[in-house]
Amino acid sequence: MHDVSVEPVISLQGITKRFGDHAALGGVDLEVGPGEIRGFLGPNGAGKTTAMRIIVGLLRADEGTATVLGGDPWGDHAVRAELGYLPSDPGLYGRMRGNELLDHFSALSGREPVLRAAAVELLRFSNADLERPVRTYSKGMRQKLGVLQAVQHDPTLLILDEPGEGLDPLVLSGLVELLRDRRDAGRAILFSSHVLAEVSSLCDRVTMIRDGAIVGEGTIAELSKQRARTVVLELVDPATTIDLPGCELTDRSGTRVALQHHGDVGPLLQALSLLDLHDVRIEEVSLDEVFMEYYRDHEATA
Amino acid sequence: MNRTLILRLICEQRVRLPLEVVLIGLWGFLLVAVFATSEVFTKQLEAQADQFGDLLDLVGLDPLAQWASIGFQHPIFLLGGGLFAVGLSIRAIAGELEAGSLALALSRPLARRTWFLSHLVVLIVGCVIIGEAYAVGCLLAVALTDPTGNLEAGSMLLAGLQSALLLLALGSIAFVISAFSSERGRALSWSVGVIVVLYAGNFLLPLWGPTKAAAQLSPFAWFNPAPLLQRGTVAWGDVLVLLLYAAIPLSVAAWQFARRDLAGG
Repeated sequence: MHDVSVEPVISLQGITKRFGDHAALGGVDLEVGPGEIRGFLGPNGAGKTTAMRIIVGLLRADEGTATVLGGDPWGDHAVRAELGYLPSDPGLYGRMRGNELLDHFSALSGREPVLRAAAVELLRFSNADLERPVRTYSKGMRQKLGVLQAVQHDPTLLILDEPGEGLDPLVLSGLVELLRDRRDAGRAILFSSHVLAEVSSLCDRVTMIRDGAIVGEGTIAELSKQRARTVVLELVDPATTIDLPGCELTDRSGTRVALQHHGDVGPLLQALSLLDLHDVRIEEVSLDEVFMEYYRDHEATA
Repeated sequence: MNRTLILRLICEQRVRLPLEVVLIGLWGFLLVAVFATSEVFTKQLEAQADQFGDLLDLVGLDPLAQWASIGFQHPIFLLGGGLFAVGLSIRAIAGELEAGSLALALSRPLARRTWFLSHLVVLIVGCVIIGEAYAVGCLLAVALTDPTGNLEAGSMLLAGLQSALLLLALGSIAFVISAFSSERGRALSWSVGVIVVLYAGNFLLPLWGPTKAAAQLSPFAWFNPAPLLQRGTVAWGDVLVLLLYAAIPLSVAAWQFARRDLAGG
């Protein structure tokens, strides 16, 4: 969990970025501390990759301040010695063998690949695979190699743009284990993903971005609390009047009533106890639903 | 410069560059060998030189030197050398950016200036090797076939260096286009287009009075190894112009690459 008293590894303040007429980021603030895994979520084109490229120093922010590992990622290339980056579509030299490619990027980093052996095992790579030219790799294997080149030198900060893309469930569990292990070693990890189960199982905190602006940030529990729960009642008497605190009727047919509930569940449970019910079901909000609600908000606004 | 990066670039060229060097060397060898075995060619060349002397600036030169000089300016040599120079320059920025490998490399503690200079070193060395490959091919044929005429080894090697400058100038045009582009195909099309226009302009513009001076804008107008091969004197003015022709676009490319966003294709 991010401790506010500790110097953040990533600090974005008021970052804006335009590509021609298109505003990719409009005043983004983001802080990630050491020993934290931060999920970065948002629909396609929301600005996740742009923000990540600014953090890595590939793009220059039009306005605002980006501080990464205590330095300016655009102006000070030395800060990138402590950084590992996996782009969403990593360009790996096809003619090189897997091992050669890892050696090459390790040499460019100027650091020993101290984590390579462990990561190779967790990601279920074999030595035979690493001896083959990269051009013979499947999409999943390329992705694994992309993750390997990012983590092998044990960087202080990992920026992973959709690391789970194309990985089978076994490898994915290895990746989760690898990232948790790095988090426990005090490394900071910022990653984007569309696999929401992966995000909810892995992240300490989640940042939601939409149309280039941060629209939500917190733990999964905090974000879920802000969103509506589904409450389904089975009434004994279909004529019962329903007036529950924080609830909004979404469907009613016969004895079945569906509601959307916002806020604390205490008053709701109290009110429910006064009703004559056959059954009650309060469905916990999943990250999927939280994400979809944020997305729907966006659609409605648009 | 970065040793790891330079080694990777050399490794990438381990098949293509030697192949181009062999073909260019063979081109030089065959040109002289054919000259040595055919008096007809000598006579034809002399006749052509009389006819188009102004255009080719070859009047009164040793026929063998004229022949070797034409080989340097022939599209086969320019295509062989240009393939390397333009190919490497396009790949250096636009190609690697489109492929996604530039983002991976520059997420390391590697300055853009270092990336640029490492590619430039390989470009310069490759151009010199290709230019000298032709010279060595010609000299080998002279040694083996003993043709009529005189071709000094020193002058030939100097002309090889001069041709490397021309190839570097062509590469620098591609480099600057690559630095402004995010797509390999587009950068390549523009580079080839500009170079072809400059090549054609060098021959066509002097044919009409009002456009004659404009031919000087082409780098090809500043590359004529014939006087060097004939008299052994270096045309330093031409060398300086070719150097500027390479240096100015390379400076613009370096400036643009240092400040541009790397957002992919």
